Amino acid sequence: MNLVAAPNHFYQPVTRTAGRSDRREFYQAGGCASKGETQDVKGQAVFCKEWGDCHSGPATIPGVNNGFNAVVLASPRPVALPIAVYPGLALTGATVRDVVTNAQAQFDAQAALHQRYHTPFVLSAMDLSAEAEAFGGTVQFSETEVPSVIGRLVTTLEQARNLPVPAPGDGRTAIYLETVRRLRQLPDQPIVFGGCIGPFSLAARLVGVSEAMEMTVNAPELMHTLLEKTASFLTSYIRAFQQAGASGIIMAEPAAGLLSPRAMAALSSAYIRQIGGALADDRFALVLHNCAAKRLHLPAVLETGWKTFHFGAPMDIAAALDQVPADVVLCGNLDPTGVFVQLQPVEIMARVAALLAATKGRPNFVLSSGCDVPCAAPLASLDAFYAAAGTVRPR
Amino acid sequence: MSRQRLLLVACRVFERELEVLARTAKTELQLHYIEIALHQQPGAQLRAALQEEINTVPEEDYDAVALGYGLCNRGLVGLKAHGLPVVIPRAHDCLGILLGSSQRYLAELEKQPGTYFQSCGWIEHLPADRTLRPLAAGEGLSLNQEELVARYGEESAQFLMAEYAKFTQHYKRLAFIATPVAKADERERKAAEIAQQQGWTFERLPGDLTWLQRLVDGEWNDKDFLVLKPHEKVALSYGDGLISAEPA
Amino acid sequence: MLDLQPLHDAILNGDAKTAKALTEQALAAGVAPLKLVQDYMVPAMGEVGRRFECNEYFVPELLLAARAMKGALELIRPLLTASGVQPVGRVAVGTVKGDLHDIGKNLVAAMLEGGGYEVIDLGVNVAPEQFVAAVKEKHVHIVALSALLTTTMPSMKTTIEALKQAGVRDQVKVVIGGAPITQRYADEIGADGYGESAAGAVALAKQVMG
Repeated sequence: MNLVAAPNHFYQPVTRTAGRSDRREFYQAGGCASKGETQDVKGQAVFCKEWGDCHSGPATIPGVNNGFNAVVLASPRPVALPIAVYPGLALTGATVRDVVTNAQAQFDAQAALHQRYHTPFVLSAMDLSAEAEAFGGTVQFSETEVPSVIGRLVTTLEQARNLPVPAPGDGRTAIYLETVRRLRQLPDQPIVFGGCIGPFSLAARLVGVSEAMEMTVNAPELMHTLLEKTASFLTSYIRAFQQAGASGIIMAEPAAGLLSPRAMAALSSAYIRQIGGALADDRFALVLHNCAAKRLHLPAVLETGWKTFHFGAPMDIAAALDQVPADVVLCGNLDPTGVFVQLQPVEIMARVAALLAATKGRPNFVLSSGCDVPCAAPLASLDAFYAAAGTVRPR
Repeated sequence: MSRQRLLLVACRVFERELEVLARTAKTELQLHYIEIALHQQPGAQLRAALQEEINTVPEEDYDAVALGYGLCNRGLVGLKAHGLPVVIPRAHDCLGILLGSSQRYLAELEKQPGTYFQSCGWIEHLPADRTLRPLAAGEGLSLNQEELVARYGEESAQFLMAEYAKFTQHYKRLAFIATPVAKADERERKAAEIAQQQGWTFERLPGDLTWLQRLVDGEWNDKDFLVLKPHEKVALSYGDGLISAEPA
Repeated sequence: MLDLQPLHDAILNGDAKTAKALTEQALAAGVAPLKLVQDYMVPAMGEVGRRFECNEYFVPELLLAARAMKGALELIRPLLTASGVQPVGRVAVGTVKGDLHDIGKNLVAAMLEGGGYEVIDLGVNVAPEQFVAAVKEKHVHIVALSALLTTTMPSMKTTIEALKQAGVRDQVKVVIGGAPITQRYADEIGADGYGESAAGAVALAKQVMG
């Protein structure tokens, strides 16, 4: 498996000109991998000497994401795309367990929300346990919570090397593919997004999420062995989503947000870049979701070469918009619990208005929740969100 | 920078939505409500009521007057600004405003011309003994059966009831514009009930409050709002702008 | 000499039964049908229209009066046709595309019939092509467009455009009316005439036909 060749710069100096601030911003860096040098990172502006020679920004993968981004950039009003599937249960009466074990129940929940809000996009549910389960991991189910992976499937390098890579459709991954197929049948033909986990978050679930952080330091070879396999599986899985008729995928990589930017670049971004390289075509939308990422992670995230990113509440999204190229789209970032579950409709509308005001004039912004909106969020919250977001038909 | 002082004279149909939006308005907002459905009353009552409001605004206290109205079946044509600018959404009526754009409103009408629209405000203000609000101007139409018989005699009353039924015979769909206001679910249920009684299909359309939000926030772009300068008056325009300003 | 004022009053008061009875009586007594129409029925409807404009009459009164007049007309029409009386003109009447309201249109149709016009009622939600077809196939002199809603007013413009496209715009006069319509709007879209209310339909038709 070849990495898509690109210099592995971990950081990017950013100059802010008049308007927001005239401080020169910089980020912690590990060094320039292509040169193998380590540089001082104690809060001083540090430049990789080779930066200008290599390229002037993280190399994007040709052909990544032009379809979705084109739609967003061309839309006269902000596009709204919350990650909301489970709140549909208030309309169908099913349980979370039904949704993650039955494609019809999952389809019904999303279709109900689609019908209520006339959304231009529909999504399969976010469930970060199905892929790990396909690898052989143990999953704990609940009627009301998304399932979680428990235990540790892999503890030794030997196990990692011998771990078989499943095929798309194994275990409950079939349910998500089937849901996408059914969503494609909706008569008004909304844009369908599939969903999957990211390579690092998947590897972390295979070794145990709490142990994973330690292992990135203590057992890097084991981690990279797993990462090769998770990346390989995810590439096939996303291809299967493409074949099922999805127009895009939202890849959720929350665990990487807990890493340093350097570690994120090496253990997550590099593999995501690889996946993107294998899948890139002009139309299919690759969206990377990282709900724990903060601004200091931004360069590492951009290293993936993807062009659409979805962030959670920890990201200062308005500032982030200043730092990314104009053709990179950022989505986010109203806190799913803090906003959609805990606030009253009036307050939710105010938050939406505030976020729209903070991101005003930025065509490369998509209004969204920071992460998956849980089923505990009442429909009144989504009602308020959409009323304040405005109706948009991006076509 | 101090906030703009805005007097918003609005139709009561918007009361609940404005309750929500006013709390976070970017202007210093004062609300005056005018009774609902004045556009159906004869004798240009709507225009007269609005002109009265405009003429009696204490102009030192405000920077502008905004109207929570659309063209409302020509009701606003001829309205004249006094000493303050008057801001009017370039909307056909409240339904277009609650849907967020004329484009969306016309698309819904194109989809089904026989659409009877309702919103939370309309349902809230339905007279108790009515299932439907009368659709054309005139006092006579608000009479119920007993009143009709008393005024016109049995036979004529029968004829009139049959004619009234015809007014709604072309409606096929009740579209309820749902907004996140108090008792919205209750209003929606009532609307669905009405649809069922009339034999129409029921559809819930998610409301879009961004137009109304911009009205209360003082964000009046030319495409969506007409701003009358002092002493200008409203004229009907056949272009997309719907209304234009004419010198007095 | 038969006093026909009660016929006028019966229509004005929306008394269909009396209107028909008096019409029968008058016809039996040899009164010329056209005289009944022109001297009594049309003026009665004119007065109805005036009262409507002054907010003395509302829609119920209009409906009742129209019914009375139609009832009387039904008795007279066969006699007019039989005696070879030509209609003053032929008018295609319809509510424009997207608009399903017919009350205004129906009143105008009733008024025009009473005024001696032959009315081809195209109904509601009438596409521009249908108006064009009526002009081409039925050789109408006037096309009367009705719209009750501001949202359907643009259809008036597209109908006039369609007539132009079909090359028949010059063959007809186009008049428009309806609650949101104004003279200025009529001017802007190139209509030949504008009717403030159904009451003035006959006068307007006469005026545009010249």
